[in-house]
Amino acid sequence: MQKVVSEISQVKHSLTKNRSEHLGKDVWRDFVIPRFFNRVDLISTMPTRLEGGRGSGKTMLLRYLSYHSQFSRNRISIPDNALERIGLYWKADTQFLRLMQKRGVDEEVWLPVFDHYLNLKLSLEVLSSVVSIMESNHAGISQNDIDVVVFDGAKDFGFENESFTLVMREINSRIRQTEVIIQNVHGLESLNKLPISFLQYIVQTTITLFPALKNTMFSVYVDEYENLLGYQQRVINTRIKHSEPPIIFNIAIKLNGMSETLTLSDEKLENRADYSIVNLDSEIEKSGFDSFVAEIFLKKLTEASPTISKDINIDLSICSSPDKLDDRHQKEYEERCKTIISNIFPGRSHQDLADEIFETPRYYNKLIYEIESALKQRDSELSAEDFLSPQFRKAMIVCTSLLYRKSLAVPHIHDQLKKLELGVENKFTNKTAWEHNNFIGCYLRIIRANKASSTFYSGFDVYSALSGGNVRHFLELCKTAFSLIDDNSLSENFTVDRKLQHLAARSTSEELIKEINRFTPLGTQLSNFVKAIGKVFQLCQDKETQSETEVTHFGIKEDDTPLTEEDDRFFKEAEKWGVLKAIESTKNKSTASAATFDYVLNPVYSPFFLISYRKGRKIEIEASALRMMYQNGETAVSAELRKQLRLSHVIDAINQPKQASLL
Amino acid sequence: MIELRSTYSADEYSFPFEFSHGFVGMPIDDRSQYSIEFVRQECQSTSLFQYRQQTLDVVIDGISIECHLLDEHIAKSKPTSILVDSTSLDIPELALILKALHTCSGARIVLLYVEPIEYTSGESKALEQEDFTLSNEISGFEGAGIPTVSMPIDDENLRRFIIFVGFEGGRLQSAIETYDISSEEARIYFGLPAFKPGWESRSMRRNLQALSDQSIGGRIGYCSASSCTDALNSLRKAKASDEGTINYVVPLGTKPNSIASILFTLENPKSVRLLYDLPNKRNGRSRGIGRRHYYHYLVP
Repeated sequence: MQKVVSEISQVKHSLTKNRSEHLGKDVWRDFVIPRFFNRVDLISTMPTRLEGGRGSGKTMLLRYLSYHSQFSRNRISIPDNALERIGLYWKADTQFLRLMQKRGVDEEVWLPVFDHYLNLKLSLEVLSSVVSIMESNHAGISQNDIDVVVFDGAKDFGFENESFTLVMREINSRIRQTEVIIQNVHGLESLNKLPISFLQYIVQTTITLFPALKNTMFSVYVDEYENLLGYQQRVINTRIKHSEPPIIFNIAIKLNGMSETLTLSDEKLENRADYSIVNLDSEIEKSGFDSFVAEIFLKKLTEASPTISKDINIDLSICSSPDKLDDRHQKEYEERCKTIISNIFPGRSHQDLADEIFETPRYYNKLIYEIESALKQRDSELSAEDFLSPQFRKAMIVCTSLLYRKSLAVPHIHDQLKKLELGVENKFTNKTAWEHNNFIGCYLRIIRANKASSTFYSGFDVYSALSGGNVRHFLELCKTAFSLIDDNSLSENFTVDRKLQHLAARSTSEELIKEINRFTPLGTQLSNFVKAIGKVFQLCQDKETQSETEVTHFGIKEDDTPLTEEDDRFFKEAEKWGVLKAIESTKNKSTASAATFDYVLNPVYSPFFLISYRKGRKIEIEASALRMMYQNGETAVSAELRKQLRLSHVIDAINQPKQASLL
Repeated sequence: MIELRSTYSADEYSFPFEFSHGFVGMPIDDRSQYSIEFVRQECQSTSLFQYRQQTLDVVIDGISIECHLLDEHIAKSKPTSILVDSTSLDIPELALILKALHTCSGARIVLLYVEPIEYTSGESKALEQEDFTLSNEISGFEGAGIPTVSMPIDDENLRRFIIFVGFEGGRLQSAIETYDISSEEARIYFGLPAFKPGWESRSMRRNLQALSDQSIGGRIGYCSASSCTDALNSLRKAKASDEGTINYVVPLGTKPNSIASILFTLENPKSVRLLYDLPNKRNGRSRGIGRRHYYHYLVP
């Protein structure tokens, strides 16, 4: 028993380590190979631009591809062909690299300094990779091999030494000297700058002098490329453009992160001709996000708790092997993963939600109250009792909005309900589908006053949908859910109660909204916007009539004023940070601005506003109003805007708890 | 080694001598208006000093100067006793001024810091209740560093991060994320006792959240929010002394703690580096004029 309890705390801990950064550069043991891995060519001689939002696993993937993981000491047997491609990972230290500009020095002077620094850093990586291979379980390189290597051309570059170890040490020392010079500017002009031919020399000599590396190609992966200065991006672009074996340059960026396509000559970097784009978000989605996160979660679980996973009876070690990808795409295996995780995070059907309303006195009272007030508003002779339908709970709940609609006669709705009860064709369940189209909206409106008792955001499928394709968000949700249960209870029954899941989703959502402020440089505006647009969606979903059910995305109208460049930048940033997702608009506009797209709010923010996470309807909002929203936040949702959006009559959700507590 | 002495007064105190030079920043609240005026009274000449993040240079009394030329510029005026208003000057300015003054051996330096009576919390919307809104926009650790002060993270050496935390929990979280800080590498300091009883709990709540989210269980310490000497002693204790470790000080806490961080980097130029996320301070972020602190040292 004690053992299980301690394992549970391990499980919780393993969920907090959900950023690659926590794992260091060697991710061999923890990495779940993405399910698309064999479908995209990440290791060819064609440079790759790997793009994806925050939390899509870019860094993790790059670290997996780098020598730190491929030649990890945790990798017991390393095949010979691992030497064919050695990945070098380089993440720019942006605080420092951004000091390589201005300061009384021209860009033409800074550029060769950056180039020199890059050459030193990458040369060091090349040599470090050789040392890693020597220390790994691969027998290709021995200490003796390293000891006898002589870089006899190093002197031509002004080096004092020739041996492998001393050249490496000298590179290190030159890196430090360069850093001090960059820090203080003094000495910049007289710095002995190493050209790219130095890096080429190091690479060429390394593969010539180590027989095991004779077929080796080095792949450089530049992480967080978007943080580099323009000219620094141009330096990297030039290297991409002229990539050829034995050294290929690749980059990883956030969406919309590539502002610079120029190289150092007049040539532009062209998609397809010069590099191929791999979009991680869409690849993950295409290859089955549900299955992927289920595997990641279960792998963490099995590693942290052998006792609990004993009963699971599934082999997740295949997740670490690129050869086993086909097995992971077997239907049976995928179903098995989902079943196991759905047992841990049990979900609810619409019927369950309807039952919840009937069985929770507060909700039930609110249901009756809504029917009564609708009937009163419509001056109907029918009473709430005429709509009582305990056998057809969903239909009765849907009546809370149908009855408000002026377009529907009250007796007609009553008729249809009676028909449903009699089992004959009716608008609740036939192709008009009142029930299907309106249930969630009506449900959310009823529970709003007392959100904590709900189970709306529960179930693996819901958690997966809330994550919006972002692995990190999924793990955050799971982590919060587990944190609400003590280890002893979990050791008795390893499952998360639906109510707790709902609470966890709300609290995770709130935390993630707080985090938006940190999405530099427009964090405040992004945060303002999310609060405002969330409010708008909330009001839409709160409409009595539910005539616009589940509004979760918006389009941009440019009737009053067109989008400005600043607006465009805002939407690009929102997309870059995954706050909004752009989708093809049904409109066909000729402009190339953000207005050609519709935008969906990241579903992970929906629990905070208690709104639907499903892609529902769209609302058109004026560009000027959207601008106000990112500038001023929630206050931008003024009476005037409400009027424009036909939301004037919706009772403010903030006032609602008071109203409900009277019941 | 910098021999730092500190004292404070509840009321206005006038120095028995006149300082040769004073440095002040722009006023953003009651207390900085007061402190700037005070420095002007106490010094023969007072300079308005501003660091410009966009152009990476400084402006002294309207004249722009590149940071790496600051030493010479300040030395030219042969300062002997300097009063620096740390209330109105922010970390980059203080780091630059103190670094430049560090070349003037024997100079007497007094840093003035005036506490507020209270900080203003932001709009009282549900989300902000826990957070003091002190910054408008934060460049973040991905923005440019401070010229002549910032150095890169050195991957080849072991690292130790000594972090002072304050009211804005998100900044701690950003630091942990940007630099992949692990439990073993972190030493976290809370300002305790805080300027006012009760404030520490807010700072703790927000930061503990960040720490638990990132599963950082590293060593947590406390040092007085208003004491520069206490913070400097804590830093000396927390520093990894072995050759192969680089210490990174991240001042996200109170001004006195930040001043200690700067002095500490000056004391150990080789083994200690400063990391800072350059928040853009909000106007009117605090109200009132509280205790006045004076930190005194002679440049070694």
